[in-house]
Amino acid sequence: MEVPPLLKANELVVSRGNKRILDRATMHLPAGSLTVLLGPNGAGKSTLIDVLSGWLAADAGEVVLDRCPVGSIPARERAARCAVMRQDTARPTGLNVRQSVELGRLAAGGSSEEIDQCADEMLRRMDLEPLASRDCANLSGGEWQRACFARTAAQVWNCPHPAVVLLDEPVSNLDPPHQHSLLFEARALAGEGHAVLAILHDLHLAAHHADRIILLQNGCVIREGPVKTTLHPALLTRIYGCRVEELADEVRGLRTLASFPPAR
Amino acid sequence: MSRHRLLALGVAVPLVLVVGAMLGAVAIAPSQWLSVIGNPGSGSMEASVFWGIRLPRVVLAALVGAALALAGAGIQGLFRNPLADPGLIGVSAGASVGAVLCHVLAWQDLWGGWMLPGMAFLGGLGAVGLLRLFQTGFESGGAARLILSGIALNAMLGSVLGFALFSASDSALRSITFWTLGSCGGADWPRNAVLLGFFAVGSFLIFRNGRSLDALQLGEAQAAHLGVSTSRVRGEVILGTALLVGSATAFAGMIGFIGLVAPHISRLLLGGLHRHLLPGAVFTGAILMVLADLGARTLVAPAELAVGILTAAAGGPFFLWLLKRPGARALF
Repeated sequence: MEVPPLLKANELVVSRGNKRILDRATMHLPAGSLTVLLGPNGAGKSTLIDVLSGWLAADAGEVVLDRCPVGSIPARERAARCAVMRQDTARPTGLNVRQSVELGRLAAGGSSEEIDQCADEMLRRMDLEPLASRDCANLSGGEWQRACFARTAAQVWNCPHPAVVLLDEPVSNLDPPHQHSLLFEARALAGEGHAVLAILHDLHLAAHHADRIILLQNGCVIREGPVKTTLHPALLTRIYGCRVEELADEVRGLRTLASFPPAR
Repeated sequence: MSRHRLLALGVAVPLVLVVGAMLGAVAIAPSQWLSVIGNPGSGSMEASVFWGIRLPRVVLAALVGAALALAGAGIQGLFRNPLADPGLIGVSAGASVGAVLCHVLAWQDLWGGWMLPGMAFLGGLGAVGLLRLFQTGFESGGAARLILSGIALNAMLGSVLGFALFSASDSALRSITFWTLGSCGGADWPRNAVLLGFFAVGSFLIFRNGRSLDALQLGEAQAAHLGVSTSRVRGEVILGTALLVGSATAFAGMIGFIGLVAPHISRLLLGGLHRHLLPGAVFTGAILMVLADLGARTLVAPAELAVGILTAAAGGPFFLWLLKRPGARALF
């Protein structure tokens, strides 16, 4: 049975100068699954997230979030339905990790007990408890990235309706165990009924954690669908221009993907 | 802990006000303080100095300091830039040009005295508006751009002031000199009431955006994703800043450093959350300004220094010391 999409984008076009960053990109995000967005640098992945979240208006095409055009939803209400973790989030001066996570509750509000409970839970889930009172400026890159994810997850915490969660390269600074644990948490959000989209570059992580894949190249959606029908080594080799092969993960009996430098 | 420190700062303000009003060229002996405060209408020389001359003056100083500090805190939060300050980016100069124009045109007594702060406010607003034209956004990378446009704006407004100076009459000339150096002299209750009116509206506009300013520290886009309508916040904080700086500059002239330093002191003491930082800046600014004004009227008594000289002379070294502290590393 097909789940109706929570977020739908139709024929999105974004141009800068003569370059089309998004070129009639069409995709959707169903509630309850983790979709991984893959594509080479400059394919338009971050721009797609900017348009999906309503931060950037597309030159053509439309984004519909839960039957409303995303641009028409007031900022506060939009924040309750769509949480975004950006790549370029600045570290707030003079705020500690816990205070930065609590900013995720800005739109939802609630009593201070509720906010405390939410922050406690997110700090615990992201392995940030020992850092809770550390100033954000004194975190390593990976620790700050986990704090940003915790804030984004806090935004949809106890959300009464399915929300969209957009993650722009959420694991780019993380060590392997934290990469997996963050993506497990992203999947848990999908398990709670949200529609989660994550930009990744690691094909192995994508193969292990994604429910669905969207392949983006030169602003076009090349392929969209379940992992099985999208992650073909030959297709990925063509898109990335570097050799991608399927490997067997012998311990768990799974297949995974790895990239190799071009043969000389 | 932040809450306790904020409370301590708040308690310190009335104490500094009273002590500031007791000290001066005519010192009131500590043994008389209680009777002076208890009997405003006693007719004694001390009581009339305290209630009629000094108290309006320290209240003016406190309001001016609070307004400049709050404007500085608001603008630093909005531009996400620790260097932003109403003086550095030209808002004070804009307000000053408005006030000087008002004097050159001899309009200062129009509309029951509201014309002067009104024009200073418009001057400040115009300066922020110009600045906004040259800022593509309030995003990262805007720091150098902001400071450079502020320098250019300050220079331009300085030449406007110079032109006014050149073409002004003698009496206008005196008032222009007054604006550029700053002074809390000539305070009275009607002026304080006007200033309080501007302060109430301006601080309301900034305080109500405190939580949004917290979120803006993550960057404008990220704040928008959290539910902040960034253009509304920007408009309100800029309007509030212009109201605060305009009215403060109209009544006390151009006073530097309070708007830059007071928010940083508040941030170091109370942390970066604006619900602590903003009231902390108000209290810190009021205290600093009352002390600076106390120095201005006592250091070379019976003559008087321009208060702007003191805030810069005392504020500069203090700020350098703040920057060297280990605790400052996380902030700058």
